[in-house]
Amino acid sequence: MKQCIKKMKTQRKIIFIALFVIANISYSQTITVLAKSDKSPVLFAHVVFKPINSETKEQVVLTDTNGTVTIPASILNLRSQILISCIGYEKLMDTLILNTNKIYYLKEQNQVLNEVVVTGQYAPNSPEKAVHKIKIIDRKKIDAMGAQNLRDVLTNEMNIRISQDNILGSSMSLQGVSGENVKILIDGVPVIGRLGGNIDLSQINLNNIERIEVIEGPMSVSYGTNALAGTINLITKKSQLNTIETTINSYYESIGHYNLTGKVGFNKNKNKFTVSGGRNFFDGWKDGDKISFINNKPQLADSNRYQQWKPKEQYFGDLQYIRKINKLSLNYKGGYFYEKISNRGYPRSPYGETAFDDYYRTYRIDNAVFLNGEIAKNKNLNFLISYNDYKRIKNEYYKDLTTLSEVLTENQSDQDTTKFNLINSRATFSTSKDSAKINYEVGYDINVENAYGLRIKDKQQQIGDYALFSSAEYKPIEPLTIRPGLRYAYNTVYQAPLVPSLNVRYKIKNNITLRACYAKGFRAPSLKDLYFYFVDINHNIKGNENLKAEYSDNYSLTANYSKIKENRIYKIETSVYYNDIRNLITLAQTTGSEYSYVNIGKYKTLGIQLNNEIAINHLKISLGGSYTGRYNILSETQNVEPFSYTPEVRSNVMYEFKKINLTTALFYKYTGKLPGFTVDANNNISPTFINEYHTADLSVSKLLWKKRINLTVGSKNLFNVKNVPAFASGSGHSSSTSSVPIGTGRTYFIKLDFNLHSTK
Amino acid sequence: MKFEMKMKTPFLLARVGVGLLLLLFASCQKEELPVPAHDAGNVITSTVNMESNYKWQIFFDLKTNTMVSKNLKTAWDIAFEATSDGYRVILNSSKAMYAANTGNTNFTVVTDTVGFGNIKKFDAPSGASDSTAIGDWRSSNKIYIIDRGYSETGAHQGFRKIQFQSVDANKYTIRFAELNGNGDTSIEINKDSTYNFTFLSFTTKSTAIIEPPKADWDIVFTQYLEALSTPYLVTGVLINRYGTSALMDSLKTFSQITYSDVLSYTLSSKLTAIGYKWKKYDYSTSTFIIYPQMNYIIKNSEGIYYKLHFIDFYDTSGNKGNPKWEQQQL
Repeated sequence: MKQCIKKMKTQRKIIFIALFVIANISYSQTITVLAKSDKSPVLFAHVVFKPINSETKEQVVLTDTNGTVTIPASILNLRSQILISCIGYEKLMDTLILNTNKIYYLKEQNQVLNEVVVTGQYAPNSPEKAVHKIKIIDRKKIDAMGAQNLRDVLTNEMNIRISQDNILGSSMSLQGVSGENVKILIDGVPVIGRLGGNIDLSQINLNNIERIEVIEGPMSVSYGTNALAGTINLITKKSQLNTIETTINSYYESIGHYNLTGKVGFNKNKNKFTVSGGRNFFDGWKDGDKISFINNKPQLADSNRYQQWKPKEQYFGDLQYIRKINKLSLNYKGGYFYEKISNRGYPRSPYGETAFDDYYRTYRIDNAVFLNGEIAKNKNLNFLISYNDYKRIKNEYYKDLTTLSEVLTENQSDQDTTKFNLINSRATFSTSKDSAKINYEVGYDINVENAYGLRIKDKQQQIGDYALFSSAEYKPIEPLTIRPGLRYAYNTVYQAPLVPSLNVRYKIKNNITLRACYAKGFRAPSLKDLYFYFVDINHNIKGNENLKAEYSDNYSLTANYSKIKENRIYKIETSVYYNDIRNLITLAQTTGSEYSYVNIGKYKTLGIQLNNEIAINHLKISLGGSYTGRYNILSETQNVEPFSYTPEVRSNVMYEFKKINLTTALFYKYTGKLPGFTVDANNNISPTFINEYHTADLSVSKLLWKKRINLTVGSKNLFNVKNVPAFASGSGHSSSTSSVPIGTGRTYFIKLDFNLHSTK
Repeated sequence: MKFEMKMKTPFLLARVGVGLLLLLFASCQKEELPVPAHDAGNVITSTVNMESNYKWQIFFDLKTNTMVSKNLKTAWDIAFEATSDGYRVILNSSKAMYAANTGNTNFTVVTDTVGFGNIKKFDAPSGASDSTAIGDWRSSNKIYIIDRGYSETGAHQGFRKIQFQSVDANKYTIRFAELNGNGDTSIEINKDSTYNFTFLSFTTKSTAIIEPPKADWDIVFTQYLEALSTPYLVTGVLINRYGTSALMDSLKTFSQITYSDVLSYTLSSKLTAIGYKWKKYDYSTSTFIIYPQMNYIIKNSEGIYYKLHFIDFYDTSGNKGNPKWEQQQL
């Protein structure tokens, strides 16, 4: 049933024809369509009635929420051929005289075959057919992991490393390349608010997200700057079956996460309106914390006030309105997000009578209008315009812990406001005719960004990027697809690079697919790189307005083998990649005591990965490993090896007990030791590292009360990882540390979701 | 069965609803309770205010526990040794001043700072008398270029050329001007041996009383140039070069140190014997942390021993530049 709902989007035109037909029916005999596995009703299955040897016209009807259709009066008592189909199920055909109630059972297709991707595609496409290798993280996985935000869910992904800064939040690296080179999109709209180049992944909540599409390698032709190491596109939920749907999701985790979100959706005729919102609260964590549930007893302002992982409170609300206009869908989305991080300082030595407390407030306001769909047969339009606003305010207080009175500190940099806003508009026109030799896409992408901050020259700067891009998918012979692409951009500040790409997909046999890709990726200099200004008696750091973009050449090769036999699926995928990044923007001493940003750095990564997936009936197992090499720039001047390698292993096991609506899942990942080198002022080379660690999550979920309640209990971080030993020596401002924060120890969670709906 | 379900449902929902509301409203950050203040006992707690940009130099007397005097660090440029046999000239290190011997003796020929960067020197922070930037100028008549350094706001104060012409038991004779020759001044600087130095300001082109009489103070709170990987302006404490010495002991606690320990210490007369390392800037929290375990033993010019340790660098409003310490006579 779920698969059916998912695919609704592409099938809407038929639904609307069908709804129109239903309106003319007055009575009586019915056909009921049930799923073969669990006898649950199949919703919105298409039932085609084709009278044989008759002038009567063919009729298409959709099943209702009970899986039932009423046989159209015009067909009653005629000998007809009937065809029942629904995405996610095998088609069923029968011929009979329609005059009795009848039940049909549809057999489920295997799930793996029924995924849809949109990122970088001309029209919603199956990941098998896409020229890009696209990884999907679906809602099922998000739910089974108890993942609350993007950070949570990415901890189990291969080739992704998450690191934690307890003030700036969670950042990632992909294919060994840092997060400033990863583009994060929500429905194709870039997420803004990069601090130190990175977006705080824990600010991206997954409540309204249906699936996450991850593409490794550059997508700079389509998505421009930052899409160098990869692109992560979060797709929000847009379909709804019932007239009114209400969902309430609650989550408690034993280290003090308390989350509550709710959503109400109205769906009538061609309009759909959704309001959602919620609050996430985390009471902070430090090693040694005990499990507690809502303990608000005031505590003494001693060293216990300091938390390693800072307490956090988030409020958010979203609005969505979708209207169908012929085959197009007009969509407005608005969102508000507020987060407050409280950093109560450690009582200051020697008497612990005072402390510095910091508060970081983040505000995000997002607005977007989309117009998507088919404007003519196999001709697609995707348009969006968005305005995103980001503001982060830091306040520092000096607190007297003996009286609990506090004052704002006078130091200018203690009270800081950073603002970004982005106006983005992009549109693509594409063709998607399966039988055509050539399909193509043309589009534009406009980004106008403003930044405001204390340490930005003149406090405020603007950068505008106006890009045109195009690509074509050429199929000289059926199994081969060649997709060249090109992006040209005019930028108001710097000379934007011309970005080409070439993707090739070749289906050797029915079950082996090869993909090869060359693509250029780039990262535009950020407004900070260009306009940073920090000059005082001990500092002289200025941005560089003559910076060029960082760019990379990426080469990758992927091979897939898949075998499907009845209820068994076996998939194996292996890939290799190489990233060669030039012009890295690096802070360097330019003249005397002056520091500025210059394009001198270079960096390379290479890697190999292997992934296996087996699905047998309701058991799904995946097991994979990767080996990532990171370039040591020191190897150019010192006697160290050019690449340092890190292994990763990842496995998921999921089993569904269909009859009792119970699902169990295990997620495991091994993240290998991350080695590196550093050199000090005396030219001594010393190795640096972050130690290896294992993470695993286990969960059991059960549907209760006619599937209206989904109860999930589980444990996260089974290996009890907290701070991982690390050694990084440095000079100047950085210092050597003995550990890095990775996790908050083993925790237990309970998640209770309510789905209430009514059809009117 | 179905009927029962219907009956129970509202109760179940109500309970769950209450539970969820609890989740929404009851979880919040804990309130705090005040901690008790410490009892200082019979140690004296003192503090001085250099302000957060460290613009004041503050001279302090431990015996009377008073600030003897304070001056803006921009109030002077160079100072002249005041003993009758003295000839040394020191730079105002708190402004990050440098000097270089041009090797030239013709005052009007020196007009620019070409090459200055390569030969400029700063006074050794230790105060060692043979390690001043200007050095022994008596046998030559060379012109020196002086980099006046920076004000507390980071504004550069320009350059001067200066010629030290003579010194005797009572006075110095010097000539200085801007590099372009403007403000050409020839003056006599008088010695007064109740002071360590006589101070000169290029701004007022006249001498000024900066330090109190040398027997009246023990330590000075000031910025000074320290020879780190590059010369770096640090904020700390220098001791009086007149009969004062000091030592740091971090093995014993402050309260453990008694007069009987004094004999086992070898005190240093380096000006930086106390220095700036009793605090450290912590980049992870962007604040200064204090090392109260660093105890300083100070012997003043009268031979009296004191112990002190720092307990703060912030005032009650959280402004830096406010060293706070505990002290006790031994």
